[in-house]
Amino acid sequence: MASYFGEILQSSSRAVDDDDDDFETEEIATTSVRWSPMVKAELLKIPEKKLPCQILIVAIGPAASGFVQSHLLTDDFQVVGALFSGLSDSDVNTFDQMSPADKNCYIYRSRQIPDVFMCLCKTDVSAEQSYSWTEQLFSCISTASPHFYMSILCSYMTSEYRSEVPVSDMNPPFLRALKTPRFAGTPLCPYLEQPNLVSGLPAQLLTYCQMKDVKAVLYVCYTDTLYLDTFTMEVFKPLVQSTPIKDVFQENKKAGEVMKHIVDIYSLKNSLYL
Amino acid sequence: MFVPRDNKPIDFKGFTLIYPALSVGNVAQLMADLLISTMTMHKVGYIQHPSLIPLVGNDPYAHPSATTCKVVTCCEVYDSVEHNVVIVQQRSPFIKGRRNAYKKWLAQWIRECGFSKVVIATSSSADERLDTQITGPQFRFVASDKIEADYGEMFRNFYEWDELERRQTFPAPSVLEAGDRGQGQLYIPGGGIAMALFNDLCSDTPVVLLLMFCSEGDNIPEAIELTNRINRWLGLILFHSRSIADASDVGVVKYTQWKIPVSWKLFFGSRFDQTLFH
Repeated sequence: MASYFGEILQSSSRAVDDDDDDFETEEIATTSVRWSPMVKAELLKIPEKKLPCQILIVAIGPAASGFVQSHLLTDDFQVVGALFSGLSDSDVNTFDQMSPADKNCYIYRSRQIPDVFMCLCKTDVSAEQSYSWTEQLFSCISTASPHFYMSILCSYMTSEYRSEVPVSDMNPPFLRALKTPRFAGTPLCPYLEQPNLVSGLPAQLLTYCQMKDVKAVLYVCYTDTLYLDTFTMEVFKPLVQSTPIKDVFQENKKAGEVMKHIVDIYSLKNSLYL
Repeated sequence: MFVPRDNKPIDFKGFTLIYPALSVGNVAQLMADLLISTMTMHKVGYIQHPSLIPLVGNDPYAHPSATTCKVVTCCEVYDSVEHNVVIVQQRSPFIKGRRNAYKKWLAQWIRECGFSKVVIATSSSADERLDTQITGPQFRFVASDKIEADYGEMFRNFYEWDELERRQTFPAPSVLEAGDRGQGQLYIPGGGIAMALFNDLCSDTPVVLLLMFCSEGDNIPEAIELTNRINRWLGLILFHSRSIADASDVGVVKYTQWKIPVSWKLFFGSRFDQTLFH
């Protein structure tokens, strides 16, 4: 197509990339999962080779993970596994998840109630890895229980939210929800309106639950702040009264402190000027 | 893989499959949306494949005032027993480099299902048209041998559709003489996997490829034209110019125009926020 200055430019399409066939990749980047020795020993005794699970909470992104870490992740929870996707040699990893650059996602299980699991995914899992990530997570966690509930928490920028009402009138941060047909309850916030969409890892997890026909709910927090702050994490707070989080929640007085600590960790990375 | 809804096995034997390929301007997908929305087609299953970018949203065909939640995923299969048609609607792009893997799986699945005929809808970049294609109808078809035998004459003489011109060499702009079907090659820039899928299936399945030339932008007019032509051939919906008031047959749906789905709202994003200019 001719440009304003007269030279011919290759037109590009929003829908299709014609160069795609030249770039054929047989190597599919996959996620790998590792389980603790204790879990591995348990799996040997179970004929289905999958851990029984009633509640699974997955938090994706710094805001959702920050909320879960401060309000739900008590000392009762221990690390039973971890998911690794897209790690390169130059990536920094701390075992206690204290760096914003941590790329591993830990899976926690309650000691008292061993069928309650939580998974914090602070890193950005690409769309290419999402399928594999989901497969690996459910490779050893069973969704077969009739009381299985899954809750997925994630966050998006308000710039991606389309609505007739201007976003400034909507008082961000705000929540929206999507749920599978089996999930009988009503979420605590409005459903995500058309034409808005959720893609990536949260979408892959909800798709998996939809296909397996299990109870799952996805909560999306739309925020307008680039940097993590307590307001964004607090927007998830009403969920402690919703299924299934209410069955896991215990009043945690240190929540505010932990949130502030998390914000500090991220703000160190974000300051352009000291 | 295809996952039937409610885990009930489904038999697609004898149905017509309309497959909209991801192509420039998303014209074919818009066409599928119009068909599914107007015929109120029933979702019968999901397609789960590692080559697709995952996506979820609320029901795209819901009533505008609905307040329920029906999750839609990145690739779903709809059918209409009344019209004997199955449509695969894909809402998200392929992961880079994995397009061919999906095409191979799709061709195999189509063969296994035993569709009576396959209609691949796509679009092609308007800026790579030949000189002769610049004027006149922007619609073209490519038929496999079986479809050519059954419908070729109807397409050319009755509907007056044009067959996609073959090119002598790629990417030279010359055109071969009419009737030279054996030589030259078909070139569909921006058509996605349509050409590759057609080539894969044409040896043993009745398959036809229907395309529109378009440039990206507001592609609703192209989608409507493509839908009208497909509808004319397959006879899916009979449109009435006005509602028939004295409808003696109760329960017969009277169509007057294509039903725009609610997911087409805010096509080009939200309006700008007025507070920008305070």
